[in-house]
Formats: sequence, C-alpha cells, structure tokens
Amino acid sequence: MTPFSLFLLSGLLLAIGLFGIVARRNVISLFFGLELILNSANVLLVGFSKLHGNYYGELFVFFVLAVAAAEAAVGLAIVVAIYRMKRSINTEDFRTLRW
Amino acid sequence: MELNVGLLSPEILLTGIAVFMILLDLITPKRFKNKLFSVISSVAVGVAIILTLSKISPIPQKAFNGFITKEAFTGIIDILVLFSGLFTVLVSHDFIERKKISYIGEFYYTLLFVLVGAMLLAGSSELSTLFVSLEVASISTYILMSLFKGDYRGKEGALKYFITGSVGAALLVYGMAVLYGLTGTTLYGEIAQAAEKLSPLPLLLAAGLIAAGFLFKTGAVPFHGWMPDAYEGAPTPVTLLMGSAVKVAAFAAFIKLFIPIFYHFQAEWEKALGVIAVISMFSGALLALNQRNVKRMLAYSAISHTGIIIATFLSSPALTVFSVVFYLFAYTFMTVAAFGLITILSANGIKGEEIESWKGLYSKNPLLSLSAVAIFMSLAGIPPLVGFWGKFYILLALVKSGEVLLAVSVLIASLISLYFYLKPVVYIFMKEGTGEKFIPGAGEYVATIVSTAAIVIFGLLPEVIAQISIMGLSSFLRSLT
Amino acid sequence: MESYLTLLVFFLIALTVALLVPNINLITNKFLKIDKANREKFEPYECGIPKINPIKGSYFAIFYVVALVFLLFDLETVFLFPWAVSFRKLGMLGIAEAFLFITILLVGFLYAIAKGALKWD
Repeated sequence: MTPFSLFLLSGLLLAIGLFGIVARRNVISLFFGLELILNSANVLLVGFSKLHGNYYGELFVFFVLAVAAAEAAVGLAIVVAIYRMKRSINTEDFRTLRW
Repeated sequence: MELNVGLLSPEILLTGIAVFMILLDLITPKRFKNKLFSVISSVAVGVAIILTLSKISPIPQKAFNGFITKEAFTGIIDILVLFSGLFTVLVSHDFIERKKISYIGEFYYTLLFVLVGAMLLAGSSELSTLFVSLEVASISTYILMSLFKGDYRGKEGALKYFITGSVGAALLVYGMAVLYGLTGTTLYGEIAQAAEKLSPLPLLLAAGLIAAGFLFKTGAVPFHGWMPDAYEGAPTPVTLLMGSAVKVAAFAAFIKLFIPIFYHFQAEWEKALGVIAVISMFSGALLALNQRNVKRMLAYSAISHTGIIIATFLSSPALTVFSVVFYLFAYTFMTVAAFGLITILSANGIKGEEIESWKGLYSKNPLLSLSAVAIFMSLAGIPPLVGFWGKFYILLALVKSGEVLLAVSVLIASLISLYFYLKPVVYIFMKEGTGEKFIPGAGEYVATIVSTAAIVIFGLLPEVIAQISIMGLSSFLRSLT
Repeated sequence: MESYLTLLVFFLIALTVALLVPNINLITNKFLKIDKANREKFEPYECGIPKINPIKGSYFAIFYVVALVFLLFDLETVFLFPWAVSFRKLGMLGIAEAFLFITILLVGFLYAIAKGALKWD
C-alpha cells in the first residue's frame, strides 16, 4: 500500500460523491453522495494510520462515523418534515425562498 | 495524562444543564415550559459567562492532552459566543410566546448545545476535536431551524443549509485526512512542526480543502449559496445565533488552525484568498442592493462582511489576529442588535421582515427607530460607531502590510453597502405608516437596546476593545511558541 | 512526492466541481443534472413484470423512527470498543468516563421512550 494508491481510491470516492451531489436532484441521492465523501476521508485516514503506525487516524474515523450517523438522522428528519408539507423530495421543487 | 477538566467547566456546565433539561422537559407541563426553560438557560449561560471570565488568563492552558487549548483569544471568543447565546435566549422567549411551537424544551437545550459546540470549536487545538465540535454546532443549528411547526420556509432553509454545510464539513474532513497523512499527527503544534519541513505543494492541497470547508461555513463567495436562503428561512432568533455565535467561532477556529500551520507559505495561497475576499465583499454588497426582505439583505451584507474579514488574512499574522478579534467583537453586537430588531418588528408575521412595513416606525417607537439607525450605520461603518473602528483597523492592517489594492476595495464595498443600509433608515422616517401596532416583549427589547448601547458605547471608547484584542493577540502569539 | 503533483490536478478538478454545489437550484448545474424522468422510474420494481395494482399500503412510520433510533445508538456504541481495548490502562477514570457517556446515552433513550418513538401501535 502506497500513499498513491490510497489517494487514488479515496479521490475516486470523493469525485463520485461530489458528482452525485452536483448532478442528482433527489435529496436521498444527495445523502448517498455525502456519505461517500465522508467515507473517502475515512479510507484516507485509516490508510494513513496504518502507514504512520499510530492510531490518531483510526480514532478520527470513529468520530467521523458517529457524526455522519447523526447528520444522516437529522437530514432525514428534515426531509421527512418537508415531504409532509410539500409532497416532494426533488431539490428543484424547493424554491420558496428566492430573490 | 493531563486532563485538566476544570478548564472546560463552562462547557461542562452547559452540557450538564442541557442534559438535565432533556429530562425536565419530559415532566414539565406545557404552559410553564417557555418561562421555565428560558430562565434556566439564561441563568446557565450567565454562570458560564462568569466561569469563562474567571478562567481567562494570558498564559495558554491545555486540557485533554492538548486537544483543547484555551488562551485569552479563545476566552474572548467564548464570551462573544455566550453573550450572543444569552441574547438569543432573551429574544426567543418572546418569539416563542407568539408562535405555535410544540417543542419548547427542545429549542432551548438545542440552543445550549449550539453554544457548547461553538465554544469547543473556538478552543479546539486538534483536528478531530475541531471536526466534532463544528458538527455539534451545525447539526444543532439545523435542528433549531426546522423545529417550528407549520413553518415551511425554515425547513427549506434548513435543508439547503444542511446540504451545503455537510458538503463543507466533508471537504474539511478530507483536508484534515490529507494533513494527517502528510504529518502523521492531529495536534496543531506537532503538525506545525512537521509542516515546516514539507514542500508547499501537498500542503497547499490540504490548505485548500480545509479552507473550502471553513469558507462553506462562514459563507464566502463561491460557497455562499446557502446564506440568503438559510438566513431568510430560519426563525429570526436562530438567524441571530448562526449569524453571530457559529460564525464567530468558525472564524476563531480558522485562525487557530490556519496561522500556525499554513502561514509559512503565505505567498502561495494569498492570491487565491484575496480573490475570494474581493469577490465576496463586492457580490455581497451588490446583491444586497435590490432586496426587499431585510433578513435577506442582512444575509448578503453578512457575505460582504465575511469577505472583509477574509481580506485581513493577507496581512501579517499579528495584525490579522488583532483586527479580526476587533471586527468579530463589533460584528457580534451588530448582528445581535439587527436581528433582535427584526424579531421585534416581525411580531405580526413574515410581513415585518419586508422593508415596506418599516414605514413610519419613528412615529410609533422613537427609541427603537433611533437604535435601528445606530445599528445600520454601524454595519455600514459610519464613524462614531463600533463598526467603523472594526473597518478602520482592518484597513490599517491591510495598508501596513502593503495590500493597498485590497484596502481600496474594502472601502469601495463599504461605500456600496452604505446605500442598502440607508434604505431601511429612510423608510423608518417616512411619514405615512401602515397602522399595525406591535408591543415588543421585554426580553427582545432588552437584548436589542443593550446591544445597540454596546455599539454606541464601544464606538465612543474603541480603546476598550483594542485593549481586549491586544490581550487576545499576545496570548495567541504566546501559544504559538 | 512526485505523485502528489498529478493528484493535485485531480483535486483541483474536484474542488471546481464543489464550487457548483451551493447553487442547488440555480442556473449553474442545470448543465450537469441527470434528470431523465419517465413514468417507469417512479414505479415500484416488481421483478420486471408490469405492476398489477397501485401500492396503497405504506409502511408504518414507526419503522423509520425505530431505524433512526437504532442507527444512532448502534453507532454510539462504537466508542465503547476503543475504551474496552485500553480498559486496563485507563483505570478508574476510564470507568467513570464510560459511565458518564452511557448516562448521556440513557437520557437520549429515555427521551425516545417518553416521546413514544418505540411504541408499537
């Protein structure tokens, strides 16, 4: 395992996640993209933790995972609340607030 | 092992009270909730202010094996965060009285969690602590924004803030991962030591990603899309909180992370940051010109202010810390006063946010309209008020480090912004008023008037803030060595 | 270190993409969106054969709430693993901290119960 291969894998995940966020209209798909980005960072952290031989990275991953779960829970709750009022989860329909 | 738990006593107190409030919320009858919880949380925040004041010392203190470092710099930011939290509690008491809300207890303890997150954010000196506290503050803000029943705008704003905010946080984590990979540690001090030996290019990658994360949070231009929507959609007390506490803490964390680690190759990134700063201040000022909704206008003006603060990063580290602390001090009081005022005026519903409904305010409530004049003039940077001194020191810092072009653009942006800050003032003094009466609640009235008084008093006595900022600066410099 | 150079380009591209993110429903990413909506896409998948009757019955909302509560508590326990691994080194302080952590989780659990998140009817 080299830093290069690590970067390749995680960078690929990052790019897929970012593309998902930019291109998809469905809020749930946006969440997939978000999780992908966070997990790309996790891959990098775990890999570097192994390369450096210390545990800072792996501990960081625990926190990232927990925060990602909390974020997903809150995000889904907001989406459900919006769906109840608007009957849609397409981002193009969320345009009440505009100039 | 060196824990030094006592250093974190304000945060621990607030967390303890918040957890206690979760339990208390389950057994309190509904009609007492608003009064009871607002009293508990304002007392808790008040005690936390006293605790923080008693702990401020010029010597940097470490807790949890160096994961948290508190200097006077952090102490000042903590005080600002807590003050805006106190004002938010005061304002939201009256706001909740008027609105239908079924989650009163939740509102107050989530508010305390935002404060805890913001304080830890300002204190963190380790990457994972920084990330977790940032997320505590922002996730709680998403919850606060969408808590009001039947309020669709808040939920839409929350969703937009949520998506962009979490993308920003994710990029931040990625940048931290790269930084960890380059240096093999997550403590700022050790990273700074290791970073001096590295070549700038890979560090630039980490710096770019981390800066992107913070710029998302503070709303600088390429990442500003959420700001107007979130500011307008959120219930006004929540806008107050995220405009002051979260933003101030995010800037403090940015300074604490950026200056020790990335400053030795300033030449590489200063062009990029300068461009971002200039674009932010101009597009914020220009887009605000045509807004009818005052909250939305203030959101664009916040983008402009963010640009001005970021411009300061191009001067030398000492000048940056000094003038940013000064500006944040002024900015907190101005934001609190402005959004407190809007909360009072929007007592009749959304209509109060529209600029037309401000017509003839002077004949209804002279004190409030005079304070509105002070607030908007201070935001614009008119001399005897505190906003002027903030801009003055930033200009001084920029000119002293030879960034004359930036200084000139700060001036021009301020001149443009004068136009849209004058607009509400003109409306206030118009004769014909729409007849709607309003009775300001005690809490929001006190919050607005006190912070307006702070604007005026500190504007007449800028030495006080300057002294405080110098204290913050010297403690910050001491923590670097 | 040479390899970082190529990767930098890679990330710059990623960042420029990121610049488009905030404009969620403004003009910029009209060009990028994948939105080939058709009727089939919004229908439930039934092994390839046309669906027989519209799905009326939805899941009980309680399933989602329980799933959310489970997700949170499940992930919080992740912090007990590193604690358990270094249990001997941490001593009494570690036990106290773990109890504090579990107490806070317990408060959250009580909240979930009191708000009826786990009621099955």
